[in-house]
Amino acid sequence: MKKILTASLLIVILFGGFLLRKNGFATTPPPGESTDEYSNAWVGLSLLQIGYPVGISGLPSYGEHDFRYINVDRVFSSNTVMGNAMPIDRPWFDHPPMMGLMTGSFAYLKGARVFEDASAVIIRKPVLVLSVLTIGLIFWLGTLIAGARAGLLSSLFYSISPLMVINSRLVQAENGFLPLFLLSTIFIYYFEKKKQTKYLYLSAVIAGLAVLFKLSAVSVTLSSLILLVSVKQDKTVLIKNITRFVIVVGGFLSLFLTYGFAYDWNLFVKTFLSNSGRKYGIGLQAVYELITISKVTGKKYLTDGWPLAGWLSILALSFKDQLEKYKYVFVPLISYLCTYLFFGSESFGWYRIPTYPFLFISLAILIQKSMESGFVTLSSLILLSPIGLAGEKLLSVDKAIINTSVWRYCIPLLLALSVLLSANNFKISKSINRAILLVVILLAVYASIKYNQIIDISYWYKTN
Amino acid sequence: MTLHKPHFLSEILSVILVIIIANFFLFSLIRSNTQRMGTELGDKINYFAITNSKQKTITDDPCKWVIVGDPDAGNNYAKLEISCPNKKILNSLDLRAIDGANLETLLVEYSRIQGIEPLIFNDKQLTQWGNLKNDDSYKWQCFVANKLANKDTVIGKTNLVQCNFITKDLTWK
Repeated sequence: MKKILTASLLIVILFGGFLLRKNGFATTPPPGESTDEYSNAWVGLSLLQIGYPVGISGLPSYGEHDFRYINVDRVFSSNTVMGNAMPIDRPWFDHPPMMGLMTGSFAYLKGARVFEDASAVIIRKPVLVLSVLTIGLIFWLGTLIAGARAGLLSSLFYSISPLMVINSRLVQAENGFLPLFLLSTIFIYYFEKKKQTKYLYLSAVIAGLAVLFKLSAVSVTLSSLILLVSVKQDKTVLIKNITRFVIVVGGFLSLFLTYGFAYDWNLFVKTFLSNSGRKYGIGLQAVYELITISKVTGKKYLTDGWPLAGWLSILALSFKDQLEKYKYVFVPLISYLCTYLFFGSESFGWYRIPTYPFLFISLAILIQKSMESGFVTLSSLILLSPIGLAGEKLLSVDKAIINTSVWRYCIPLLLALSVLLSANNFKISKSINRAILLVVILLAVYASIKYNQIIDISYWYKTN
Repeated sequence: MTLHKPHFLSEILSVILVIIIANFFLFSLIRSNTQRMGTELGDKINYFAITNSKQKTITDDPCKWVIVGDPDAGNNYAKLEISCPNKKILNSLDLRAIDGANLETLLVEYSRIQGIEPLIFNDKQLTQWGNLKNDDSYKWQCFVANKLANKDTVIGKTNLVQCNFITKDLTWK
């Protein structure tokens, strides 16, 4: 019965998440906001049709660029590309081609044959599917770590967070390798529990595949290796397992090297060095911005309290005795953070995408622990972040949508009540506290869904 | 431990063998394809880049769409001003994207970008663009850097190209 209920709730979350992502997916963010989306699809289309990768770059390694006006989605009549002709380069080596193959293949199946055919309404669809898959994988990992309730909560929060909804539409490599990040982590979990080599190989294959989306997905390998080392096993067995893992991932990486060698090794190396030599665009304030600012693209922000709530929950859970218990949250997060800080480059919002699932799982775990213990004040306080920020945005649009009296009177009352009730150990106090937390969660979900509904193309242009 | 060693070694060697085969296969595939394509490659890439999508709506109004913004091309741009009966638009075009920029190539490329048809020159002069066709009352006149131009007039960097569909009474020389 419990499994049926869990499955039913998961289906509702998946379906709801899909609907939120689907609504206006081709217009918000506006096509052309990131030309990477088209570049990825063009790499795939050109690989499929002529076996040669062609995409947008602009890196100095290519020398003279072939500037073209490819007016897909009529981007030159919008203020996204700002009149800049697209620098087409080939063979295109900026990133491994997997994201391109995925979106380009889909576009090809939908009848795209030339670059201008690869419109946002086509190329964003596979990413929508991937994002629903990601919601499911977050549920799976959350359930493995802390039970079905945590799994449901984490997938629910991820499915409704406005920043996640918008980010999930972008044809960026991070959206491609994110489900692989989760899956590799899941398989390492199973390896730890069942000690079967097949799970190790599965994790390694997935981690290797992730690298073929983007080199920063080496964080998946880093994370899985650290988790592998943390598994209790004989030293000799550990060395063998690391060897297995590294060889498999290395095998996938070698495919990318062979790919570069087969087309043009000199250009491949120059492009790699050019990419490595990019300015450290995220700046030394990168960690501060990661926590406090919710970016979508390079210049566009979308205020959303969920990432902050996630980071606060990470702090709340980061006690010595919790680190080992929740290593499947901390290790992937820190691994990606290290990669993010190491790679640097521009401060694009999509570089943060791989951190989010782990933030939401962490938040779900904290809420689950609050529910169990009956001490709900901290969780409720943290959830005020997404409620308040969503509420503020809704209020600016239509004061009728949200009632400030709810915020002004009910929330402080609920918080005060929860503290008072926490001071005693009566069973009824804990029940009331749990009810309070449930109300706060429902408010957060309601506010986020309403906030999602106002985000359209005109809202996008008004927002900073 | 010694009993498991050969098993592990053979396992690893098998994986490495699969990797080598996969790499060999990939290399052969790419190289043979690149050799087969030969000089066709450039033409194919050009085709992908310049062919309009079948989904693109073609317009007969030269002033319907405008290219927004100025390209980051230093001084390697040209401005294209189009005057239609009820509207005037101004575009900035990156000359690096236009091969052998003269008036004809510029207007052909602009028409391709925006999906404007038709574009007709007669005796080196523009006679029809979209649904705006020379007749007894109106005609097209194009200027490059304020000088009357024909289809072969070269477009220099930062030049202003003006194409006006105006009444014969207002025609310049």
